[in-house]
Order: sequence, then C-alpha cells, then structure tokens
Amino acid sequence: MVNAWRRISLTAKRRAVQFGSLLLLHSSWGAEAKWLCLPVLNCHSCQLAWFACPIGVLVHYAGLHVFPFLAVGTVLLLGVLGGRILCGWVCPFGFLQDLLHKLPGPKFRLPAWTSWIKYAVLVVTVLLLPFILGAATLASFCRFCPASALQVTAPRLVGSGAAALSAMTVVKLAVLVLVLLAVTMSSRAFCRVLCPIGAMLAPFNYISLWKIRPPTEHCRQCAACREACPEGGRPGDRIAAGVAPNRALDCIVCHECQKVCPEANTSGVSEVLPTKPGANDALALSSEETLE
Amino acid sequence: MKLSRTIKERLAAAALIAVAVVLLLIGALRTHKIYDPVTEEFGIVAFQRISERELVEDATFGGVRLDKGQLYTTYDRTQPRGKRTCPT
Repeated sequence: MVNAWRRISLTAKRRAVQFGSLLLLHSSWGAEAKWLCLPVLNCHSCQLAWFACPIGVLVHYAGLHVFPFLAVGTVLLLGVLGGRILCGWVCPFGFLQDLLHKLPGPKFRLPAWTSWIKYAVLVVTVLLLPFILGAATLASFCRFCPASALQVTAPRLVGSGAAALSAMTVVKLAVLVLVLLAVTMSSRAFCRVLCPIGAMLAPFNYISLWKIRPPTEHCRQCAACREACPEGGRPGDRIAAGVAPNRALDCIVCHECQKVCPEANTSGVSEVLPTKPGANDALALSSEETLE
Repeated sequence: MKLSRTIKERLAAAALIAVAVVLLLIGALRTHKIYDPVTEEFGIVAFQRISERELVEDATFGGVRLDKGQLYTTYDRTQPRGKRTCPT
C-alpha cells in the first residue's frame, strides 16, 4: 500500500488531494461548522459548504467593528504550519484554475508586479471599505468574489431564472467570466493577482514549518523549475542559494519545482522510488529538514 | 551567538503559534452582547450574550447589525434555524 502510494507521481497525488477536498468541502447535507474558517476560497453561502470563508468573516466583522479572534487565530495557526500549502493542495478554486489552464489556447505569464495587487485587494476591499461603509457595501470583496459567483450566484440564477438577476449579479458573473478566461491563459492568475486569502497566507511562507527541501546542492540554473512553477516564480534562485524553494510570497507549495529538477533526478533522488537508501528523504514532505 | 536561518524561522513560527493559540482561546471564551431591537419596554433594553462561534455564523449571514456601537439581532432568536442563505 505504502509502495503503491510512493509510485504515484507528486502531481497525481496533488490532483487527488484537490479533488478529494473539492468533494469533502462541499458535502454538508445537514451538519455545518460555519463558525470555523478554513483559509481557502470557498464561499460559506454555498448550501453544501462545511466551513466559513475567512474573507467573508473578515468583511462582516470589519463592518461590525469587532475583532475576529477565531478567524485570525485559525488563519495564523494554519499559515504558520503550512504557509500557502492550502492554496496548492486544498483550495477548490485553485483546483479549478489548474484544470482550466490545461485547456489549449494562448498562454502568457503575468508581469511580476501584478502579484502585489492582491495585498491592496485585501486591505481595501476586505478590511478598509467594509469597516468604513459597513459589510453590505457594494465595494466589499464578497460582492465580486468569483468563487461566490460560481457556488452561489450562478446556481441561484439557474434555479430562480431572471427573477434573481440584478445589476450586482451581472457584475459578479462578469468578473467570474473574466477570471475564468484569465486563468485559462495565465496559470493561477487569480491566485497571483487578486486572491486576498493568498495575500493573507503569503507572508507565512517565510517561516512556515512546512518546507520544500532544495532538490539539489548543485543547481546549474537550467530553469526547469521556473518553467514548471504554476505561479511563475523563480524557485531556482532559492534552490541555488540552498534555501527552501517555498520561502517566497507567491509559492503555493505545489512541489513541482522539486519534481522537475534534473539534478535531483540524476543524483539518485527519483520521483518514484529512491535508487539508494535514504534518497527518498529529499522528497519527504517534512518539516524536520535543515538548510545549513 | 549567531542564529542560523532555520533556528530564526522556527523561533518566529513558535512565537506566532503561541499568538494563534491565545487568539483561539480568547475567541473560544469571548461572548458578545446582542440587543433585541424591539423590546425596549419601560426603559429596559433586552439583550442576550452569544459566543464568538455564534457571532461568526450570525455575522456572515446578516444575523446581526451594528447601530451606534451596539450589535442588534435581525431575527427572532427563539426560533430554530436551518441552513441560511447568502445575504449578499
């Protein structure tokens, strides 16, 4: 059983976890735990959702002028434990983006500066405007959240027909369509540019206990990891410096850089099974590694 | 004494985990006064205390509103609730 699991490629494992989380997060037919925030983009207004979305909680608590101890504590704890690993492995909207980017068509990488936009989105539309104007403001993130449009607005429109149509519904659905088009052309474009949950979790990548071990000590800057990085990052720079590749704001801890490294794969660190005792340790998703 | 990068990372992580646990404990123990908007009789304002957990659910589904610094309920809390729909 263990050997069978090891033989599965890392990408296949990630897809399996993403698919499983998609099903599990939307399996609440009765009981709910919507007092608990799970920091992935998954609208709590979805009838089948188990958990609360931290963005929704922050928006509404900002509107009520109350500090959200439970939400902040949960995000802080999960952020320190895994950084943005939830973005790469659990977030259903991230999974959708990964699948859509597989579609054929023109592909491009967004400029690096666009990744700073999400921090402004977090501060302005999740905290500042709801605090000043109230949670019901039309300028809060929830009003144009594409996950909410997909999980709540679109199904309601299908169920109720034109009766559910309003100007805000049209705007919300238009944002959804634009986001889906963008992620088809640019990998994880929404995570990179707009996602406020990614903005919240990103700083924790620098200290999270989950570390991707640099796959080689002899990086020759072949840029294979850069090509494989779904976030358009530069993991090779950190690998060459002997630093964990996930010590970067935009890393979603997908481990693709570790998988594609040709140096690692020719030095006994194979993706499937080790060719020498202990070699598989380099792929262990462990927090016990040191980088000295 | 010069600390390695890993030690610094782990110290920072440990400190933040401690902060997170404190926040979660406060959240677990804290209660909020929620006023009833219609029962001000003889100058007595009725309110009840709800936990942070309840406020998370109430807040996200429009179950409370803020007015002059106080939280007011928007529904009859004596009635049982089922699954709620999105207010936005």
